[in-house]
Amino acid sequence: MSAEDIFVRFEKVQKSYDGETLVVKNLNLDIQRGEFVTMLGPSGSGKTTCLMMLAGFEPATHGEIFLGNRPINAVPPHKRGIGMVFQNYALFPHMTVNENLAFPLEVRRINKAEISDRVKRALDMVQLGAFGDRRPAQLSGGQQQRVAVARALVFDPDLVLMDEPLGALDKQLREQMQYEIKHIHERLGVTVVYVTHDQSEALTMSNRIAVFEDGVIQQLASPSDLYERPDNAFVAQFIGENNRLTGVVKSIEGDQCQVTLDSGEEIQALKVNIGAVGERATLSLRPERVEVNPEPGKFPNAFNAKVEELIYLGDHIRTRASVCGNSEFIVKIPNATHHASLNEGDSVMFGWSMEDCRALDVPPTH
Amino acid sequence: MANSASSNAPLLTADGTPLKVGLQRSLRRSKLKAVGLVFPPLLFLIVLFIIPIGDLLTRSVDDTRINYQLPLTFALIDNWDRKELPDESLYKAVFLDLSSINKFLIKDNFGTSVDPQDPAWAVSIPRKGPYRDAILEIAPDWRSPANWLPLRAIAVQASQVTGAAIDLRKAKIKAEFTICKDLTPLENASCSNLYRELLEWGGNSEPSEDLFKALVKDLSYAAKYLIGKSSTRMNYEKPGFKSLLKKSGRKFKKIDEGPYKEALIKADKRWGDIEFWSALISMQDPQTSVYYLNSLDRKWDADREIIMQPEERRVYVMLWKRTFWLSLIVTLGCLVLAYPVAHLLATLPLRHSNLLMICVLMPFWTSLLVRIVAWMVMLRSEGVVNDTLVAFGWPDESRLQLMYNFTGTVIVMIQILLPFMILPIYSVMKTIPPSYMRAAQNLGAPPSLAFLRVYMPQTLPGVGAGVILVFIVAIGYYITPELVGGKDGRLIGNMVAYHMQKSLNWGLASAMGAILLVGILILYWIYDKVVGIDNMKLG
Repeated sequence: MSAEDIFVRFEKVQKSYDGETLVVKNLNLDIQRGEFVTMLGPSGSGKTTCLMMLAGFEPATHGEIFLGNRPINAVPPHKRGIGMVFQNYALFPHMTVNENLAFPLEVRRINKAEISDRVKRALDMVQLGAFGDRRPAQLSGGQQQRVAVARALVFDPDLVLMDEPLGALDKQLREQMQYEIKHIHERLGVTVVYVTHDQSEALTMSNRIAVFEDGVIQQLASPSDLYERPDNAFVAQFIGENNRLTGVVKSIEGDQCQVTLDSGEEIQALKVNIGAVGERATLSLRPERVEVNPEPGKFPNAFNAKVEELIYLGDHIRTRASVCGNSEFIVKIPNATHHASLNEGDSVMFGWSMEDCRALDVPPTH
Repeated sequence: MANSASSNAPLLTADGTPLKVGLQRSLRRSKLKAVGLVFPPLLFLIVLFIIPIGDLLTRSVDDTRINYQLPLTFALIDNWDRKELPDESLYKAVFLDLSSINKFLIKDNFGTSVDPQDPAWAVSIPRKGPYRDAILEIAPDWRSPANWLPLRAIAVQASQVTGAAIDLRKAKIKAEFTICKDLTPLENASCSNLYRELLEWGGNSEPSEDLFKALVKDLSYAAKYLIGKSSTRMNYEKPGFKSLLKKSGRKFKKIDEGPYKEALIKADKRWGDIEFWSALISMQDPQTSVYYLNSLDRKWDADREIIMQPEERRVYVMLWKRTFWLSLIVTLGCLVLAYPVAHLLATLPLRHSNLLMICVLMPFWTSLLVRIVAWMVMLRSEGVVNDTLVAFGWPDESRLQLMYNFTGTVIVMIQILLPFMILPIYSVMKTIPPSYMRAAQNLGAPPSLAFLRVYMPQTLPGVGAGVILVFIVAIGYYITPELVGGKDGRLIGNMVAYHMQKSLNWGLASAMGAILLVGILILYWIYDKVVGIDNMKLG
C-alpha cells in the first residue's frame, strides 16, 4: 500500500482514562482511502475508545492520529468532517427526519434549496423518502437506523464511523442492514471504520478486520485470512469455531513442527507462531477440516475418538467427541448422502492434515 | 363461510352472550377496584380544595347581608332620580331600616320581594312596651302558639341534654344561636332572652307578654349586630359610613316622628350629602362585583359606571403589578441559577453529583422560617454581606439596603424557590444521553451551537415545568415578603392575609384570591398552548 493511499493513520496511539491502566496500548493502524475496516473485539477491548479518539470525543493520551496526512489531535470534533453512526443512533428527538438530515448542512451554511435537495437524495438512498416529516420516535428501529446512516452521509464526509450501529436490531433486520450498508459503501466509495463485537457482521462487510483484545490489535487481515490463517490463539478462538489442543513443541523443521500433546500423542502441525523447542504451544483446528474415518495413511494425524454428543443442525451434524484427552472436540459432519451416520458412544477415527492444524502461541490466562 | 356470514352481527362469546357484555363483566371488578382506590383522594380533593374554593368564589360576589339591612330602602331607591337629595319617603325608609326591628318580623322581606306599601313598616314598637299588640299588628302570625312551638322545640331539646356542665352550656349557647338563625338571616346573633322565656312558657297556653318582650329584646340585639356588620360593608363603599351609622344609631332613638328628612340631616349632616346616597345604589344587588372592582382599585359611581378609586385609595393595581414583576424576576433568577446547577447534577460523576444534590436539597428540608432568619442575618445593614463589603473597602456610610425592600424579597425568594426549578430541569436533563451533544458536534456544530440547537430544546419540558411551578408559587407568596419585604416588598398575598386576618374584609380577600386563581389558570392554559402540558415533566 503506497503512502498517498493511506487516509487514516494511528501512530503509536495510547489511551488511558485513569492514568493507571492503558485502554489502548501502542496502536498502529493504517486505513486506505475507500476501505471498509472493522474493529472487532470483545467488550472492553478498546475498539470503541479508538473510534472515539478518531471522532475527536476522547483525546489520545499519547501518539498521533492522521487524517489525510494531517495530524488531527488538536482539531475539535466539529471541524473534523467525519460522519458517525452512533450506537443508539442519537437522532435528535425534537426534530423531524428532514430536520435531522438538514442539521449538518445548516451548520455548514449551505443554501436552503441545496439542503432540501440533498436531504431528499439522502433519504431516497435509504428508501425513506416518504418519512421526512416524521419524528424519530415514530419510526421503527430499522428505519431509525437508516436515518442515522443517511444523516452521517448527507454532508458527503470522506470518512464514516459506525459504532455498533446494528446492535439494537433483530437478527433478520441486522443481516439485511449489513448488506445495505455494504452496498452503500461500495456505491459511494467512502472510507468506513466500523466497530462491532459480532464476528459474522465483521466477516460479511469488511475489507479488513482489526481484531482487538486488551488494547492491542491481535491481527489485521482480510476476513478470509483471519479465518483461514489466524496469527495467534486468541484470533483463532475469537473468529469462528475452533478446536484447541495444547502441548509442548518437540521439533521444528522449516514451516512444520511436531507437538507432543499433554495426553501424549504427537501431532504434525503448521508452524505459525510458536517459541523454541520445549516451549508450550496451542494447536488450532477448524471443526469442518476434520474427516471421520479417513482412509489409512491419508493424513499424518489420525486418532481414535469417542462420540459424546450429536446435535442435528439440518445442513450439518455437530458432533462432540473425546480426542487426545479433549472432551470438547467438535467436528462438523456435512449432512450428505454418502456420510455414515454416527451414534453416541461410537468409537471412530478422526484425521486431519498438517496444513489445517496451526501451531500457535499460548494465550495468557486471565 | 360461517365466519363471513356473522361478521355484521355482534360478536358473541363462546357461551353465546354478546362479547361487549362479557368484556364489561370481566372488567367490572377492576373498575370497581379503581374507583375504590381513587375515592379517598377524590374525597380529600373535594373537602380540602373544591369546597373551600367554591366558598371563596361565593364570598367574593356575595352581597346579601346589606339587603337584609336595608330592604325597604333598596325597594324604594330606584324611584330616586339620583341628581338631588332623595325625598321624604327614602329618608323614612332608611330611618325604619336602621332603627326598627320590623324588617325581621315582616314575612318574606328578605331578598327581592319587599312590598314598600305594607302598613307594617310604619308600625312603631313602643320602647317600654307593651309589645304584644304592636308585634301582632306587624305580624299577626305570632298570635297563635303554633308560631312559637318550633322555636320552643329547639330550646327544649337543648335543655334536655345531659352530661357535664360544659356540654350543657354548649348546648344552650348553640340553641340560642339556632333560634336567632330561625328568626333572622344572621348566623352569629344570640337569642338568650327567648331561650329562657320559651322554656318557662309551657307551650300550651297563649303566648304571654313576656315572650313578646323577649322577642323584641333579642331582635333588637340582632339588629344592632347586623348594623355593626353592614356598616363595615358600607364603609368599603364610602368611607365615613361606619361612623355615620354609629352616630345615627344613637340619635335616631330621639326621633319619634317625621318629617324624617329634616330630622335625619339634623341628626348628622352627612345624610344631606348626596354621595352617601349614591353609595347605597351600588350595594343594591345581592351579587356584587364590587370586591373585584375594589381589588383592581375601581368602583361604581352613582350612574353605575366603573371609575377609578380616588388617588389616595389606589393601592392594589400597583401591588398586582409589583407581584407580577417580582414573580417574573424571581422565576428568571431561578432559571438562570438553576440551569447550570441542574446540568452539573445531571452530568457529574455519581459521587460528586450526590454531594451536590444534598447541597440542593438541604435547604429544601430546612424550615422556611429558619432560612428567612438566616437571610436576615446575611442581608442586614450590619449583616454578613455588608460587613464583608466594608471590610473590602466599601464606604461604611453607604451600606447597601438589602432587606425590608423589594431587593430583599427577590433575593430570599429566589433562594427559597430554587429547588422547584432545579429538580424538574435536572430530571429532564438526566434522561438526555451525552451522545446527542456528540452527534451534533460530529455533524459539524460547534459546542455552543450544539447546545442551543440540540441540547437546550430537549430540556424545555423541564424548564417549562420549573418556570410554571416557580411562577405559580411566587405569585401567591406570603411569608417571605411579610418578613423581609418591608413596605415596598409587600405582595398581593400579604394583602389577602391582611384582609382575612386584620380588616376581616373576606369578600375582598376572596376576590383577590379568585383573581390570582384565574391568573394562574390563564398561565397554565397559555403554557398548554405553547409547550403542551403532556410535555411537562415534574420529576
